[in-house]
Amino acid sequence: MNELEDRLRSALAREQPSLDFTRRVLAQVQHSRQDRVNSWKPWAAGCVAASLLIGGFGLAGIEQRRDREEVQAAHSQLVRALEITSTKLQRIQRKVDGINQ
Amino acid sequence: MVFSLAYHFLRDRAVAEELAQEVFLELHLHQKRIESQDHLRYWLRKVTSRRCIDQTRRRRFRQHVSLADAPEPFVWMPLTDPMLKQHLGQLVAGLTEVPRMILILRYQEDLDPAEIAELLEMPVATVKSHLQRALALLRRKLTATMGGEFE
Repeated sequence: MNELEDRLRSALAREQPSLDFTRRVLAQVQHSRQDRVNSWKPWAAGCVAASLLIGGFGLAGIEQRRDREEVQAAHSQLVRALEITSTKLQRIQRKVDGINQ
Repeated sequence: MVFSLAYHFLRDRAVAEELAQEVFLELHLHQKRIESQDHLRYWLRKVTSRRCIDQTRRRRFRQHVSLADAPEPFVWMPLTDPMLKQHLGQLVAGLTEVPRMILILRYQEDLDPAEIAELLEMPVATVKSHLQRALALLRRKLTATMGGEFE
């Protein structure tokens, strides 16, 4: 090894940072961890909101389908009742026609 | 190691500490990728070197005079050991980014040219050539300053 290299090793020997460097790094790491937690919160809130919305729409959909089925059933019952009524009315009409003749 | 690399490269304690903090913060974010002590050391050197070079190129926060263009000292005077050390540090700081980082990795971290080449992602021959040219330049400058011969 030559003299210049020796001098370089000496000139470029490791230097230490200031005394509170480690404390500042740890504080920054802590801060960044907190930031990540905070940045997760709106995201999570968004997810929860989206889940709630989807759930809400899902419930509304089920509700609507149930209503439709009930209307359908009521409609069918009404048609059936009208058919029965119509048959009875026809029968009565025939009897009345028979009496008149 | 991290601060010292940054300090010798940037020659500014405050900026070096700021850069070292950023490196440790990045380490905190990527800690799961670190597989061993050796990998950690490699990772820290690599990220610090990259950040130092990038920062200097991006901000040009210090106006460096090219070492080749730097004026010779006005008066010849014998340098005491601490003065020589400081003068040598200034001469290293006057080198352009890549040779400067190569010298620091070689003489602070005691890495061989192959290890430096891997860290800086360049051919070994390029590292050796930068090293030789930088040493020759420093030798010439020191000889001119001190009046003697540096081997």
